[in-house]
Amino acid sequence: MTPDSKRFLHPEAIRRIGRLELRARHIVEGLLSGMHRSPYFGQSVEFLQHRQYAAGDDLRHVDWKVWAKQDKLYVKQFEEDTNMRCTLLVDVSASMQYGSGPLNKYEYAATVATSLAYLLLKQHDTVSCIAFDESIRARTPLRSTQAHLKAIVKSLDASDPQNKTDAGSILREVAEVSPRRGLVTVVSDMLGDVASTLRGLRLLRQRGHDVMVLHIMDDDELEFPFDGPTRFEGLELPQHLTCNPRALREGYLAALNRFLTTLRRGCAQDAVDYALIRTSDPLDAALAAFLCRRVAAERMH
Amino acid sequence: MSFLFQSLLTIGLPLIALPLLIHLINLRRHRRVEWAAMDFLLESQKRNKKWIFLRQLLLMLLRTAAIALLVFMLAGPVLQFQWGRFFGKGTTHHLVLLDDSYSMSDRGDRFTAFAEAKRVVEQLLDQALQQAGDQKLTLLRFSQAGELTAGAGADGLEQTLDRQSYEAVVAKLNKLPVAESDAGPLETIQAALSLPEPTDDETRIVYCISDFRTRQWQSNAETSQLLNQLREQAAQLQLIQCVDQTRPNLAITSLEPESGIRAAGVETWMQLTVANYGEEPIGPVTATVLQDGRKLPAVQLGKIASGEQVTRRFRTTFSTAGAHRLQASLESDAVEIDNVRYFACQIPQQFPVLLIDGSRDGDDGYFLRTALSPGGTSRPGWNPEVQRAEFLRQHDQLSRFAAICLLDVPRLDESEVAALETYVKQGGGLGIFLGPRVQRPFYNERLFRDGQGLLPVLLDKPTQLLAAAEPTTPDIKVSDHPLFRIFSGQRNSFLAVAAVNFYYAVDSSWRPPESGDTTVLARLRNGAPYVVDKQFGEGRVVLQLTKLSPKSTVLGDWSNWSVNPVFPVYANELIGYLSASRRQLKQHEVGAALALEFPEADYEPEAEIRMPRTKGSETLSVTPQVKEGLYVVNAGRSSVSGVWEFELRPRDGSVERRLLAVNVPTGEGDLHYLDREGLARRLQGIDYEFSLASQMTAEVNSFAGFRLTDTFLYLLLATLVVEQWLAYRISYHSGPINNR
Repeated sequence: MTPDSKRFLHPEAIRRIGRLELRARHIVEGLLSGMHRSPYFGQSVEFLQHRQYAAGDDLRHVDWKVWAKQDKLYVKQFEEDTNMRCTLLVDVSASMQYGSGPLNKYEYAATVATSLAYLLLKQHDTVSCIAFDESIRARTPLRSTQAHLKAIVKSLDASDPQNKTDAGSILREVAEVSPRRGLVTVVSDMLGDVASTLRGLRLLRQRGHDVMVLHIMDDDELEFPFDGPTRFEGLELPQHLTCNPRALREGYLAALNRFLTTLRRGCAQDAVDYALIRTSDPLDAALAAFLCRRVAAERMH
Repeated sequence: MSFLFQSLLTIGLPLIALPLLIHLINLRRHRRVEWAAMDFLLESQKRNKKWIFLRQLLLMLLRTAAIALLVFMLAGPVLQFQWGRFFGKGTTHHLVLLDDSYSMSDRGDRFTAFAEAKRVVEQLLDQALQQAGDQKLTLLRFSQAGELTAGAGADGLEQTLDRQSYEAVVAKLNKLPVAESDAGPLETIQAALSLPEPTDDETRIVYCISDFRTRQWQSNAETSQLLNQLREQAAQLQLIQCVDQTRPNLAITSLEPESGIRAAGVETWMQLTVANYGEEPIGPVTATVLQDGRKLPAVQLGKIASGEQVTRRFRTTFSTAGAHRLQASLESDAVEIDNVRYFACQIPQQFPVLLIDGSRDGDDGYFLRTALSPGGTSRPGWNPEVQRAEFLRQHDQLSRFAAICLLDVPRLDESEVAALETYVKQGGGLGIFLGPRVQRPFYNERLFRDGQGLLPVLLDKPTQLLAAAEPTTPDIKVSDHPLFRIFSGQRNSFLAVAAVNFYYAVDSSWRPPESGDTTVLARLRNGAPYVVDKQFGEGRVVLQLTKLSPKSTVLGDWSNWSVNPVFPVYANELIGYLSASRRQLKQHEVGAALALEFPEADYEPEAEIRMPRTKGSETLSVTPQVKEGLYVVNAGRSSVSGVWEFELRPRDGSVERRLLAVNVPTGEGDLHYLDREGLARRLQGIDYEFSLASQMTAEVNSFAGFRLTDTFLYLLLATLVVEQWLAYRISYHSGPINNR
């Protein structure tokens, strides 16, 4: 199938996100100069030195006290601004095949990832996309050109969800191979070993990455509305179960609640941004809501 | 516990397996879902396996119980134990239809069918007393049902059944004889349907105890239709057959005069008919006849084939005027009631006969009057009275005459014709003898009247009978008719000497009508009608187309008919034939209303009635009612056969006795019956239980007790409420999760 970048671009999502600036909460290394702060100048973000004002410099960084005293324009140098490095981790395991609406989880996740990639590339950030299940299925290098979007789309399109998930090990691998800090966005249903996944997320945070988890789940998985005798066959697990779903619903929802609570808490503890997104939610609203929360959280800091 | 509608139970009980069946079917009819979050599902299943199983098992049990309760409720549960009154309510109404028609007197080896029936009733009532709940009884006998449906309904006969009433009913039953009627089931079932319908807490059980004779049950479609209606009202219908074989039975079905009663001293021919209702020929059969208590020669009927009846004539003479009786009887057999038949009559001294003589010198009247009343020792029983035509205008006088003859009457006026027509229509007999004085246009226009009048034929002119080619050929040829019986056999020689010279020819356009009411009884040797008979209303007219008297007329001698030696015999037969319907007596059957009328002017207003077969011990004194110049004595409805005696007081101080014979209805002696298979074919579609009286056992009242329908209904509602609550509890109605 011919990859089509526009297939994974949600116009509404792009329009909404286009009004917001994606800003990292923490210092990241970037390949390109821009509005982001580089972590190589240390952990601090305090004043380093003055340099003479050159045309095009941001007037916010002009030291007006110096101008008042000396009647000369100087900009403050705090940290070297870098372009953000963003890694999109998209779950393409078998469990992502499930969907009860127009988009299954995988299609929804790929759309979200592509939207983010487009936004980031527009901001001249570098973006890399990794499709994973129990191993990395596809990886695009870090690039910042608009044309890179096509490569990202191509890598996602080529991925056919069919294997099990091992998000924990993938996250650890990414932490190992990404020495420079950046933004890691995980787009997944997070079904699997929660503890391992949380360990992976923690490692990424410890390495200084800004981590964002977009937890994609289908309405059926959240509500379990099934009725009548049903044979459930695992998409990743070999087990199957024939039952009356209504009899198991209460227990299922309790188990689901425990899973979601564990995940939320684990993310909160490691300052991982977490958002539960239903496949029935409008994509642009979900991303906009999440990014607004990120901006609000960044300003508080 | 028993159930009113066992068939519903049989159909409904398998439905109890429905919830299990649906569960098993659903297990195989699941849908497939490829599911991502299997972990949570498996965890839920592991944690709740036991509880889920228990709750679902309980739910299935509740649903099964609900279906079972519904089935039991609809099947009408009845609890026979006394403490069932705490759970239900109930009155059992035993409606007993008892056949007491005289076929039930069919005597078996030891008992009659009626005795068996009474024993069954006693047994049923005894068992009923031992059942739980209140018991009620309505006992309807076939013989009384006709009065109930015609007048008051049967609901007044309902009574509470307790030990005291049981004893009273049994005592009454023991004395109860079989009725002498042929009352069938139809009126009884109608009377039973006239009862108020059962209330909600009443269980009605209908028992029909009968011999189920084919004659009454086979041919009447209305009976089975009404029985079905009765069955729909009742919880159970029991048919109890009291006979188990068809026994041979003879019955006397008729004892009456052959052609009406005769006067005192006149030989009367009676005819006796015996029917064989059995399945084999019986014979030789002999009937014993008593006349006024005196034995007459026995009547031999010979062998009677199965299903046939034989009639024999015998002669008797009632020597004196007044009330007389005959009783015919057969030897004892299965049913004795129909082996006896009674006949009673009032014999007059003589029967008046009116002769309207129109002949010139009265010669026609002379010859006929002499033939009918020759005088001397001979007593033909007729009292001929010769009158002129004007006498016919006395309309109130005509009815006392046994017959009227017109002898060469030229014409009559309108009122005389009208009086004659009324007389004949009401059963009178008219003999018309033509002659030279007859005015043919009058006879044709007014008496024939295009075939609608009294005269049987359209007259042509008087015609001469030409001499025969063979001198020995009789002038008259007679048919095989009782009038000419005297000319049959060896007495035919008298016919040879009967000569006819002139006669009235019949118009060539006349043909005997298609209605068949006109018959030529005798013809002349040239084929011309000579004696013609016509049925007119309830009476008849006999026309002789020649003059009676042998005296010469303008044309010459018409005939020597009236001087033939056997003419008196012929005249007697003729008057007897004409007057037969007026001399017939009305037959009375058991159950009919008996009444006697006599003139107010001639009798005192008092009468005594003696019932039959009581040797005078049951006598009623009654005051008659007055009705249009007549006293009317009502004796009510006769319930027994025999001869009723009425004693009247004429105003001259004498005592007059009159007799009325009452006989059992015929046909009831046909003892063919419907057995189990026969009834099943006849009553197809009706749900009933059949049993033989001789094989009746205990436990027939399985439906007497307390009805638990309401109890089961409440239990069902409670079960459904609990089922719905449990279904809700196991999350069938839970709402969705909202994680927003």
